[in-house]
Amino acid sequence: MIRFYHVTKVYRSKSHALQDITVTIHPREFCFLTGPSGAGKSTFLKLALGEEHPTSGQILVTGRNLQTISHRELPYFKRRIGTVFQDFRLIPSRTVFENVTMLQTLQGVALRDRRKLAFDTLRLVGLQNKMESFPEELSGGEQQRVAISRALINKPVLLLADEPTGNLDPELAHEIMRIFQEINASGTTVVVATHDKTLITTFSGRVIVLGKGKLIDPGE
Amino acid sequence: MMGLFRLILFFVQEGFLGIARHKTLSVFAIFIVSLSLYVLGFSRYLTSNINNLLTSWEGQLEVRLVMKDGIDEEGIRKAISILEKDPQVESTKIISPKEAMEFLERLSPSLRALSFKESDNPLPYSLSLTLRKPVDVNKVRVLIESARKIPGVEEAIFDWEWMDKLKTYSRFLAFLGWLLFAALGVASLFTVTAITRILALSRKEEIAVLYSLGATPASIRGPFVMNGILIGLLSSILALIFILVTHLVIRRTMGGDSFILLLLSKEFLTFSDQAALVAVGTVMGGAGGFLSLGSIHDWRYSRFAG
Repeated sequence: MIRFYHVTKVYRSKSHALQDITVTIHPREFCFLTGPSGAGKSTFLKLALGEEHPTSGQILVTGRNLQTISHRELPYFKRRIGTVFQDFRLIPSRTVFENVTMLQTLQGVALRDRRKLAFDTLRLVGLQNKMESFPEELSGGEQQRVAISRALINKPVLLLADEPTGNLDPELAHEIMRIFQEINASGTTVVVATHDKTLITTFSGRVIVLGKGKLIDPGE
Repeated sequence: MMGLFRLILFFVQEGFLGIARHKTLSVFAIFIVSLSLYVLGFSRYLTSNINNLLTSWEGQLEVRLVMKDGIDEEGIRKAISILEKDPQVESTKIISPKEAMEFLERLSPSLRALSFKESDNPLPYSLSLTLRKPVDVNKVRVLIESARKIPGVEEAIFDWEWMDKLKTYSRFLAFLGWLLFAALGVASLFTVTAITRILALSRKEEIAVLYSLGATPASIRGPFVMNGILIGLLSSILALIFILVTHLVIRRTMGGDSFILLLLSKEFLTFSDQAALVAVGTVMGGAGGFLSLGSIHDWRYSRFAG
């Protein structure tokens, strides 16, 4: 599903975010990407999503070589990948329904179809009755579940989550992790970047350890 | 097809929302853009009125040939047969000394007191040549030169210089209008771009999320381009209203005092000119909206969120 081959990423500040990483994440795997702050977890996910380009090396995601993917193809590639972030990244001025179906709105999907799609996806996280609520009316856990719904609406083959429980209390964090495991059980490859050791020990999954931009343990 | 229609409808809705969210900035942009469109539209208004005036005067242009004293009717007919072969000549009319005197007397009644006898009439025969439209001044010059060589012709008269000058002024006015519009247009484009960019910056997180979800650059740009189009559209409507007000003010207040002003404000812009002005405004606004975002890749989350 994801293959990094001798990937190095150096930012303009000359800091090595990732150094010579070679790792493979297989389809249907549930994978933790861990390490302390500055280990390169977020950079790893940005590279896998095509938001950043590696300084050297090759990256293959869902069978596509990201070095050769064109700007025109990039959006269609991204639609096969769901992304969840620590800060939820919901638009405060838009309802849950509008947040979840943002992409479909821009694809010209009919309102009736969008409502059905949103209802079905929000039902997976138990928020089908909050469609007309605004993000500020929801708890942190609920906001993250909305963000997960938004990530799932295109039925992605790969879900990338960057510190998805970072802003949540332990109970809500566990609830979110259970949702991720359910998503994984339905066949989606899930990669969760976290530095929370409790989550890693509580939930089963492969653990890839990064440290100062280097691969410490591929977890295989 | 329905999907595209829904998408455009969404862009329009978002465009209006953008204007509503940033009322002061949008009103400022509309004012600046309408100013440049006013300059363009008003110069077009003036030049089209001048051109209409010239066209109507051009239709009345004629060449007058003064015949030599003592020429008989046979000599005049010979001259006419030569002149009617020229493609510039539409028709000819003989003006007898008597007709010429009657015309002069109408212009200046005091001449009647002199009461010339027909035999004393000092005026010669003349020929009035009506020219074929559109009148080509250069070809008429050639016609006049050759007419002067026709036996029996004393002089050929054609008052075209003032018309030529007016045409030059009209062209200069149109050029000046475009020049001013170009300068103000750049300022307008910059204004729309800057204001739409401010609008985009206030929604940078939304753009970044859409980018990460896999929205195409065109669909991300859509609401901002539409915002620019709406600013351009409203500006052009405002500019048309300003031009109409100017037209009415000239006609109703100033026109009475000046015959020239009355002639120059005879007609408002034609429908096609109005449509062209709206199109120019809309395209300018759309271009500003398009340019405002630059490369969509630069709006990815990591650019501003670390």
